[in-house]
Amino acid sequence: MEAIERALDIALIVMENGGSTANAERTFRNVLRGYRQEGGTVGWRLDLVTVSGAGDDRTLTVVRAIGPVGVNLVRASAAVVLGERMARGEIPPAALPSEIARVRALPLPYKRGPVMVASALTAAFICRLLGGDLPAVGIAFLAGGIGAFFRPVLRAAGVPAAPLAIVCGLISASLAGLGLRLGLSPTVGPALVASVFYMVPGIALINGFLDMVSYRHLLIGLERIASAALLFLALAVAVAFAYSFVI
Amino acid sequence: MDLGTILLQGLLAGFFAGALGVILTAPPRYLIPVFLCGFTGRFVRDALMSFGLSLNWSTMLAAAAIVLAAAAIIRRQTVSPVTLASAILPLAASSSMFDAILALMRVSASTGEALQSASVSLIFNASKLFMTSLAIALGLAFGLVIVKVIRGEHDWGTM
Repeated sequence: MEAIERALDIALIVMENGGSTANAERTFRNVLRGYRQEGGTVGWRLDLVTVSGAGDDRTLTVVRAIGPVGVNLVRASAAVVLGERMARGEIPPAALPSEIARVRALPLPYKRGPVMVASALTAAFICRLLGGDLPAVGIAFLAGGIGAFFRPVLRAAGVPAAPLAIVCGLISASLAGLGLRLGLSPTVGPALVASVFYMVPGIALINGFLDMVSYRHLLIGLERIASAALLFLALAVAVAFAYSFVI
Repeated sequence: MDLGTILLQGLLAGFFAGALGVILTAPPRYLIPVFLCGFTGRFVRDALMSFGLSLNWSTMLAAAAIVLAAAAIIRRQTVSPVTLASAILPLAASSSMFDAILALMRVSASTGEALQSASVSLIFNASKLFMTSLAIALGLAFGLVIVKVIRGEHDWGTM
């Protein structure tokens, strides 16, 4: 029982920090291997995980809630590595709680400033790729960077993902719309779409694709893709709002 | 499309992927692989299109090329999702999704001749989105299967 609980602790770090379901399950089984145990049947959803297996003299089922899924791939990667080291016997089970605490405490790899610059650059590069002219690239750069400034503030205030996408999307798209309304560029579509690109739920989308491709995790794959589609819709509402006052 | 333009688009896609990698909290050691995969995907797609291949086939092969490049550069057991996410997005499924949703909104607000034009735009964008997404999904699956075969792995459920 303790082995399953510890294995779930580490597998949930993978899930809650943007890792794929396949990676979470592999980590779960790796940790159990470290305890010299075989895993039972594992069922994944975006909000909970169930594990069924034979106990001492009866069948056990463990259900654990999965917290809000964020993105800290450094932490997810460290949890996967921890599972691999457990499987190789490099970490004794007694040392696992302190290792789990260490992984949980890993901070984000980039501070707020570099993320803002990266958001602005993302908007600028995708604007150019979508056919925007140089003024449009400048508009997208500024709109994306300023919108990205508010993202961590709202996230720290506990705003959920979809409202967060709408608010940040509205800020960025409205700023881009303002620049376009002033006649700085005729390439409306690329500038507006690019300004909110830093919010695109790429990890959810790709993890959803990977889960569906593996077929074993088809349902959670569909959940992830539906959740990504909801965020796309929120961003599209923001872009449509800005579009309505540009035209 | 001439070689210079293809290279420039590839470089832009690479830089875009690298910047997106920072937003998606990719570990710093992954940023160069992410750049290379972003470059590879867009370069392969544009190069194939310039040889006359259709957008969908080119996108599918580019997605497969991204998986192969990621597996070759990052020699881990699994292909990192952040590398795929950052490198796949320049293949433009996301912009098709925005176009389709905007077209849907235009349809609901138009009348007369504008409605006809908006409806055609919606059908075009929705089908483009569907086909581009399908091409990317198939390309990813194709690439992952090749990686599994090359590495001699038989656990097909853990891609």
